[in-house]
Amino acid sequence: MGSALEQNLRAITIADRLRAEGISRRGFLKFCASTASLMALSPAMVPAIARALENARRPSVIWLSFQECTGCTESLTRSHSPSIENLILEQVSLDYHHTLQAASGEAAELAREMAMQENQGKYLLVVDGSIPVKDGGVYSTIAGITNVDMLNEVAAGAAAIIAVGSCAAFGGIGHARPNPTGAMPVSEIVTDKPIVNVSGCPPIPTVITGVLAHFLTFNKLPELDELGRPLTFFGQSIHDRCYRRPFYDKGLFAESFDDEGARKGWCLYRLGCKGPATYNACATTKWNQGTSFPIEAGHPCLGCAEPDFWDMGSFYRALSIPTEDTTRTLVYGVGTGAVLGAAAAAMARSRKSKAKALHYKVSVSDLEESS
Amino acid sequence: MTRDTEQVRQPGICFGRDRGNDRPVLTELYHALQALKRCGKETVIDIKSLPFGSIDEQRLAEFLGKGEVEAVLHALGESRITETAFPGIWWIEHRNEHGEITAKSIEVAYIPGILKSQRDDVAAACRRLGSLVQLADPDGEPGSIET
Amino acid sequence: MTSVEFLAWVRGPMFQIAVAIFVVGVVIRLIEIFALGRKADLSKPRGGETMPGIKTIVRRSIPDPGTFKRSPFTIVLGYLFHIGLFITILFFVPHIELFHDVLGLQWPGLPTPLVDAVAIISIFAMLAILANRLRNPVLRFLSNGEDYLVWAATLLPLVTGYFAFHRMLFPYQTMLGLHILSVEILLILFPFTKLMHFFTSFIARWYNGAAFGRRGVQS
Repeated sequence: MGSALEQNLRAITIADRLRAEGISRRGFLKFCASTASLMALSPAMVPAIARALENARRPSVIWLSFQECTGCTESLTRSHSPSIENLILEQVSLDYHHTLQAASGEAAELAREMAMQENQGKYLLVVDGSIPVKDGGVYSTIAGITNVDMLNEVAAGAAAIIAVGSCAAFGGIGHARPNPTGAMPVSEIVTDKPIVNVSGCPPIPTVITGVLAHFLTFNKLPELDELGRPLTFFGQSIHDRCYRRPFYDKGLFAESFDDEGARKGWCLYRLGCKGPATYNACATTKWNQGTSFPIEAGHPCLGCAEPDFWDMGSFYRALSIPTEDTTRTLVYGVGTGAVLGAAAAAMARSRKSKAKALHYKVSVSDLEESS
Repeated sequence: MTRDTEQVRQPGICFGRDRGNDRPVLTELYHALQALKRCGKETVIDIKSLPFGSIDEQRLAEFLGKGEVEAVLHALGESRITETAFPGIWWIEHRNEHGEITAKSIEVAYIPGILKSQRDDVAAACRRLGSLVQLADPDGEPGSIET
Repeated sequence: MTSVEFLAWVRGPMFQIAVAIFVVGVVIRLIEIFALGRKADLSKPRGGETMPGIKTIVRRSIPDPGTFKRSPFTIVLGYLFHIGLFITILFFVPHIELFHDVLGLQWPGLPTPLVDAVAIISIFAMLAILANRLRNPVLRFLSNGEDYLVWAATLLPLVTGYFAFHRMLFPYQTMLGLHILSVEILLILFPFTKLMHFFTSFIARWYNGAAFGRRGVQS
């Protein structure tokens, strides 16, 4: 890991590497065109991308997996390895990744420490999974080191952090009520480094590689929204790009799974679709190399790219339905109101009868006497 | 399940597949072609980024048709560069080694940049040819080695 | 607070608070009204009470010709906005989902474009109502802060709902949050303001009809 060869390899540019791999200039231009498309940039940017890649060095990437289900790594690697994504992944030096690396145990930790030392201040830190902080962070540890400590240690020397998946970006399922482990997103633990949140449960693979490609090419993070997500992929809601939108506008809704409306491809609002309040690229980029996405498969959007989507009311109840038990509030309210109302009425009546009891008969002469 | 999704994909039922977005692209292409004619300005339109339903793209491809030239590029998978029935408008599809589409665009140019032999490749070819020619004919003039 | 947190709050605890205040407040006031009772009428009844009461509720839903001639504008605009408001609240499918969850009742909705058109008509009717109230010297003289507050509280849900549906003004999550918040404000103001006329106008009509019916007079 610390050999002169490795250091030399890092010194050459990405374009040099591609050439060394036998990829022609045409192949390189094709690579740039596909990268531009991946990053949703205009084809006019291709010369700029080519120039940038000609000057870019291979960044070191350390991937830390914390309290996660490994779905994000699976999403990235199980996508039928289209060449372009492979190429991008090959252009980064993935110096540490639990699931993908061959080394284990102390050797692996040593590799990580060396990579950090060599690339102080320059390496890219990728995190998936949330970080539990309760009870000193004991609920998730690696090699006896708590996730919190490892994150702080590695983040200190990182150039930037990519929080992959809703767990790293927002806390995810660990963060869902009642959050027994004290799960936290990266952004609430590391506050002094640039962080990109690539949310989704899991995120779309091309979105992950798109962000990596952006960093690779321009050596900086893309433009972000208020939640720290790249605007290119999270700037539009599912609803605004949904092919079933004409049905929503017309008011044609499926009422239950596989009913007539569902078979006709009508809007899934009544089945609990959170599309209107969810920002992600599912409706345009789609999944499995553009095959489909949940709504197209007939299932309402879960809103998995949004913070705390597990606590936003049932997946199968519409967005217009309040998340807590309103019927219970209604019943208790009526009961309380009845009791308080009866009490108020009783008080009013008692005052009325007391006043009446003070009445006494007078005659005209009594009145004349008193005046 | 297949039957249901096929039903959904039928044009008459699911309007989302057909957005009529091919027409504005044709207008854009007309203006681009004019610019090419007038001052040689080249334009590239990324089809993958357009809000197209699959019918829109089909209609556009059918309208533009096929011209006289069809080129296949073998680099990191196969790419097809086809001149449409409108000379100056080229349809470019890049695929990877698995045959999946990685980029799709329409280029308005006298010749798409990627078809030309690239400077770097020509330089490398000079070096290679030069050294080969030297080996093959030791009495001949040494091939000029350009950098 | 991010737009996501705001939306989660208005869909969550704030909604329960608003509903609780609404229900407790309305129930207390209704019980007070009924418990107040009426002064004992010691005369001999000349007719029934129930049927005349019900008939009066229905009959007074239609204005009498005299009233109509005196203030046609107020009457027409009033009907327009009230009917429009009920159509948008009760027959827009996402709202029906809400009622289904809370009350367990469901009914068919109207096509969304129709509800949309009704909403915009209601909004314009409400704006015209305000203009009328400000222009007419008598109405202006009679109007106080509560009148304008209640008008605003009723208009806001219509306007924010329209903006939210059409993705206007703010990003959707914020706009939807504002719409739900405006409804919560309306619910909270309800038991403390003249919005109670939603219940009391029918009660008043019944009492009037019943009293007159007992005396054998039409009301």
